[in-house]
Amino acid sequence: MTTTIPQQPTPAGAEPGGALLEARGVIMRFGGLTAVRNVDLTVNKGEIVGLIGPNGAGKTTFFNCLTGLYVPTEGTVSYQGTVLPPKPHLVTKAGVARTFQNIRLFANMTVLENVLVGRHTRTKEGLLSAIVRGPGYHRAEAQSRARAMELLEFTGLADKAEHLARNLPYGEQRKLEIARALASEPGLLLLDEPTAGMNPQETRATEELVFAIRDQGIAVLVIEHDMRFIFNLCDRVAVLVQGEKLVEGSSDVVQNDERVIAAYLGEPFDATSQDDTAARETPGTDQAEGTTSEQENDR
Amino acid sequence: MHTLPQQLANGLFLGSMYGLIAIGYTMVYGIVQLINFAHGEIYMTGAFGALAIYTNLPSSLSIWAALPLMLIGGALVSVVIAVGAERLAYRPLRNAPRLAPLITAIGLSLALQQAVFNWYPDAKSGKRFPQLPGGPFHIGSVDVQSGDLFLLGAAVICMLALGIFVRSSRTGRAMQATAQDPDTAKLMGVDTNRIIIIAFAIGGFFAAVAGLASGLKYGQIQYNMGFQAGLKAFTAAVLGGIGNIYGAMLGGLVLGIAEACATAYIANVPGMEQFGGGAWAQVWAFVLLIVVLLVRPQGLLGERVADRA
Repeated sequence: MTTTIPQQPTPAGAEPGGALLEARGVIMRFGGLTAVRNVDLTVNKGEIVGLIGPNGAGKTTFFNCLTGLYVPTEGTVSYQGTVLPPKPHLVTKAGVARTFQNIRLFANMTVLENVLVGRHTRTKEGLLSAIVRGPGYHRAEAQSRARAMELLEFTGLADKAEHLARNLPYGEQRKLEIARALASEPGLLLLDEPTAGMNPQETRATEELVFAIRDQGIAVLVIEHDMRFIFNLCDRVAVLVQGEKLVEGSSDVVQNDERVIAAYLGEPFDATSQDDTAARETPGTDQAEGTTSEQENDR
Repeated sequence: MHTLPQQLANGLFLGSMYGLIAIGYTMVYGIVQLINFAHGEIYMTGAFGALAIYTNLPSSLSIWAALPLMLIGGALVSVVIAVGAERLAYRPLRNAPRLAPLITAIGLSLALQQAVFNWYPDAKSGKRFPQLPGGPFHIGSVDVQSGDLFLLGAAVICMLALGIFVRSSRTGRAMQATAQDPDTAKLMGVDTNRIIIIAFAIGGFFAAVAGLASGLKYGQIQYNMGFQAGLKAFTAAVLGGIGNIYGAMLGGLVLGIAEACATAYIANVPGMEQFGGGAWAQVWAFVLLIVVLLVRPQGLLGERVADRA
């Protein structure tokens, strides 16, 4: 028999401010290298939190610790008050979904099939029922497909449902990754550089999409190099430098923090560019971010 | 006897058997990139499992009533051994260099052969296997044994079921996803260890079907029958494009038909008289493999492995 779990595990607006994800003292060592040093991070319900930092700061490593791909050397990650098991598929089942810095779609499956794989933890099916194909099987399969199509409508990919994932243009592959992650009905979505390599229009569209996801009651934690994107989007931003959390706070606090500017640019800023619009409006800064994000490879 | 339709039919039956075994190689390779060289022995133990059931049934029972029980018994033995091998021998080596599980597989293959040789009663020489009554049937100019019909029917049913299962079931989709990118599949909530076990179990089941069918077809089974059959099935899997289940079946059929035709016709080619007959069938099978791989290194239905970005 097949059942589908209720669609929204965290209804919008349910006790806003309650902690959803709590990382406490996370340390990740690879031999002699400490990639993440004692990082605490909390994501509350209904929040969009940004995670920024120079290349090699340990952002993706930290994400991998959150999703069970790495087991932190020390520290704990808990979701809704329960410590997450160090198995990726159980983390997904608990309600944390993610996308990847380098697109990792199932390239030889169709767009719809990719989303259906995302629904894996939310559907049940015995080996027998798949072979016998009783009415329960057909009902569940139809339900799953309907939900997957809804998500494709939501991300604007519905008319390409039968295309192979590898044939989609780049921007749509990114959207499909988000749709696939949403298919697991998460309470928290982790986005690893969702706008890397996108043009300004696509970036804006992604911004809208992230807001729409938040409005469905899903909290979002996002890694990004595009500062304009981050500061427009996030309720709170944490800065990771050399594996340590340097600053955490609202967009205004973070973008004016001298240590952050120093970490990104390597030297103190002169007075003229330190006014509060500098980081946001200077085209030069944006361009620099654009190129670094393409070169980034801090796995 | 040496008409073309007869040879094609012989090839079809032989090829169905190769194809059934090849499924086990190709599914396991597709998901964990391991050539399970013990798979031929899983086929052999399936045949012995079926025979053990038969010998313990009351002799008054007809073969038709015994057949389902033999299938269940053989499948049970094969699946338990295949899954046990995965769990105890291959999984601890999942992240080891490729060579380690490969050598383990070869060792396991020898161990299974010797275990049957030593412990199955009187397995030191060939064991007689029960035969299906009826036949040979004459269909046009083709003679068909009832064992052949069982083999063909079982292969068709198994392949159709597998095709539907992989293409349109939840577990089948998870299987495709795991084959393409295991880490991502895990993060999408797929328990990849479970998927790997299912792949081994399906391979084991198909091998048991082939083992039972081969006993019925040849009337005899041996402790070392898995070596040659496994090698041929592996060849079939590579020929069809390893990792592709339809390729495994197609590779099996092509190999079977090529062998049957080579046995019958090579001797008629002027100057090649001494290369005909059953003794040379093996050689022609591998000549075919070499030729196909020279032209299409990825196999008949295989996809070129694209570099991962």
